[in-house]
Amino acid sequence: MTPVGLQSYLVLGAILFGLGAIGFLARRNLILMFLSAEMMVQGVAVNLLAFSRFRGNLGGQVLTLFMITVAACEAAIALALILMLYRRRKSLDVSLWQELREPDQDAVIDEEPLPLPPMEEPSPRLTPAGPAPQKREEEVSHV
Amino acid sequence: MTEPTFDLSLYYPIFLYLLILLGFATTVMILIHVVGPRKKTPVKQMPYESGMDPVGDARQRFDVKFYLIAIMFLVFDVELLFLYPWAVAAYQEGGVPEVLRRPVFWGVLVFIVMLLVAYIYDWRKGVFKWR
Amino acid sequence: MNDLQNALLAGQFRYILPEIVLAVAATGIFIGGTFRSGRYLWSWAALGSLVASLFVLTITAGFVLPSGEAGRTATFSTPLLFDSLANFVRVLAIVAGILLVLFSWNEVPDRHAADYLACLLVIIGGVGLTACANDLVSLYLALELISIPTYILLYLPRHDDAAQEAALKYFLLSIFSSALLLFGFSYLYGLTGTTNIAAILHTLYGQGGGDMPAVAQIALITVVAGLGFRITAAPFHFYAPDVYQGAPTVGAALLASLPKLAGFIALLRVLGFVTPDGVLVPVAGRPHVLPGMALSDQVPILFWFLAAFTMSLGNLLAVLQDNLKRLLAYSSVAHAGYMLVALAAAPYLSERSSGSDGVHALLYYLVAYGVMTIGAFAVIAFLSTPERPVDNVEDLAGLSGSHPYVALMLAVFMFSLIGMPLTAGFTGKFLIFFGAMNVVGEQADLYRWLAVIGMLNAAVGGWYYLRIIAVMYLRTALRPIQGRRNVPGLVTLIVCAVLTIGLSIPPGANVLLDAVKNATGIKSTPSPIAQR
Repeated sequence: MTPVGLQSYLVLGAILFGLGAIGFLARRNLILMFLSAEMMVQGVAVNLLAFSRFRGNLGGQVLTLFMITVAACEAAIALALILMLYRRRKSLDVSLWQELREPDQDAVIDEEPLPLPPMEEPSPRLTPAGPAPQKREEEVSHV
Repeated sequence: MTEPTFDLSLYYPIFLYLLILLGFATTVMILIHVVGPRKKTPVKQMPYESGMDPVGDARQRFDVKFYLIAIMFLVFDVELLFLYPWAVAAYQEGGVPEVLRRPVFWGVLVFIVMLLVAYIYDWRKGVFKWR
Repeated sequence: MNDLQNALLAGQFRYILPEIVLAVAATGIFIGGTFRSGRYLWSWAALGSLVASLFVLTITAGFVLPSGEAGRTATFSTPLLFDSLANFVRVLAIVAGILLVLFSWNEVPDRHAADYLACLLVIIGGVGLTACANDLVSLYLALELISIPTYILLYLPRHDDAAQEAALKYFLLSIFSSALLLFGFSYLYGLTGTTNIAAILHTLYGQGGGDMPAVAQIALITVVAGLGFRITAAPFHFYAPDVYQGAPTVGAALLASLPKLAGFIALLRVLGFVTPDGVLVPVAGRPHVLPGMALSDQVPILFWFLAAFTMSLGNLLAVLQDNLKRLLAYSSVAHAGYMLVALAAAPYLSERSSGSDGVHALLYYLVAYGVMTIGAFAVIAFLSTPERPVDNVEDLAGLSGSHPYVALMLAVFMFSLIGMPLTAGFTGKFLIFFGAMNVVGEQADLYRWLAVIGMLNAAVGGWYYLRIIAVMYLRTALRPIQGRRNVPGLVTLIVCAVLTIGLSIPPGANVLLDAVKNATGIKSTPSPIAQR
């Protein structure tokens, strides 16, 4: 078995990064855009780990560890933000958000709108386990 | 970097650990059967008690409450990543050097306290309330 | 790792006490905010912790830094470096933080005030750490420490559609830019085998800038692109107008000042415009490399085009705007272009006796721009009320009648943004263009052209800033501006106005110029401005 060379890893990293960048620019679903950006970061992680092995020190791995943590923090914020946006427009389509633009520029209307979600079923009601919690008025504000 | 040669006899603590684990699990299960209280409510009879109905289409929308929990989990879960390198390297030959052990130890403690602070923040903001 | 390195590493904690103070205060405010809400209480707490941090900084700046052999080891092994540039930027960040706390005193709803102020403190700490960073890991973490709270901060004060859209746009482009930056970092690490910035630069300078592998060029471009988002350089400025318009005014003021400061400092550090002692060592048999050209000798050309493109685009598009915050966003892009002129000229000016003029001019301009742009946004926030918002240029009509002093201060900020004499904007532009004109050698003509483009741009800029002044003084309003009682907001305005004028004339100008020169480690020499 021949060992895999440094170049192969770098090419893999670059491909992941490039795919992520293309996905980020081409996608219109908010969550997929975020995931594409994460994919770019994963490409960087492949690069760093390959270099770390090649150079024989741990610097790259340390940076990767911190990158993963920061990516998790960003994912948490992304989830929260996307949830708020979804509640407002009932869709994840990013092209619905173009209120802010140049004054004399018309809104971009896509020729192929995203397919509508199949059927808006009502949110499933949870079957509560145990006694139902008492709802108190002042707690409602903690959103 | 050379890989250390594989020697099965070095791994006996893992097997020991596995044995203890299996023993603990079976003991707990037997104990639950013997001493646990039993209530037959419809919820308790469900195969998956934690909220979702396991029968039916999987492509249904989740309740928003699950997102909050996912966000919390994401943060607390990944932060633990830092404890592994520290646990491996802290008191090992060739790991964290003597001079740095105290600062690193205090650093890790501060880190854990920060997690506690984040927990208190979540608690005060009412994230853990299932409503 | 040897014993000396370990001891140095263990000793680093006492130097970052100012940032630790900020972090502890932020944590306290986060937790405290869940028990007691109320913006006045937490604004005082934030103000107090910023002042405490400044006080601690003056003490820690007096701590003896390792010198000699230990100093050299520290440069090449510690993740944070506490040189004069770092301390200069930390003071700037804390002062900007105090101004922003005063600014937002009455802008944030009570319910979110604590979270907002805590995020602001974390951002200030992040800027301070960016200035100290001497390692790719610490630099990346410091930059994220700025951007992650910013996402929250853009969203907290207001929850309407526009604010949500602004937060979303900033968030998505910011993670995209940090991925680009990281890609560059990974190649920098691969090229040199270390994450220490001083060691990376030392290795790269030792190889000579001419025949670098293609990987270095890729690293250069992705790093500049990643940081270009933060400083709103031209092809990466898309988000700025939308985000500034949609974000709360205080968020826009923050975006225009602090990330720009951090981005430029990161550029200075990573590309080697400012290097600690012992990094730039001439190697026998290698061509001498100018500072800033560690990765490639094309760096000045790259910045030349970026600068020309950025300032032209910013100014031309600003002329078309009616929305005040959008106009200030494009003006922010244009000013980033002026600052890039300083960066483009910096390598060729470093050889001259007066030291690296380009970096001085850049630092001076960063201060000047920060003061006048925070001031301009503070005027908008001061005058806006929910019943009578000040969104467009026309909304300022008749301001000279209803609020003569506020109008005067806005005029000062506008004149400074144009670059009229007796304002900080003029001194900054003078330093930058004077530097570009002074480049000698083969590139002299190129930089004269850049200076000419810059001056033409300043003239175009005059048009839209003067329009604001004209509307303010010559037109009357249908509905007079009400404004409201807002003492902290007024204090912000007055401080910014005083600084805008004070930093351009002696003694203020001399103090700032000396500080700037001291920051880059060069002894104070008389400059044309200081002598005036």
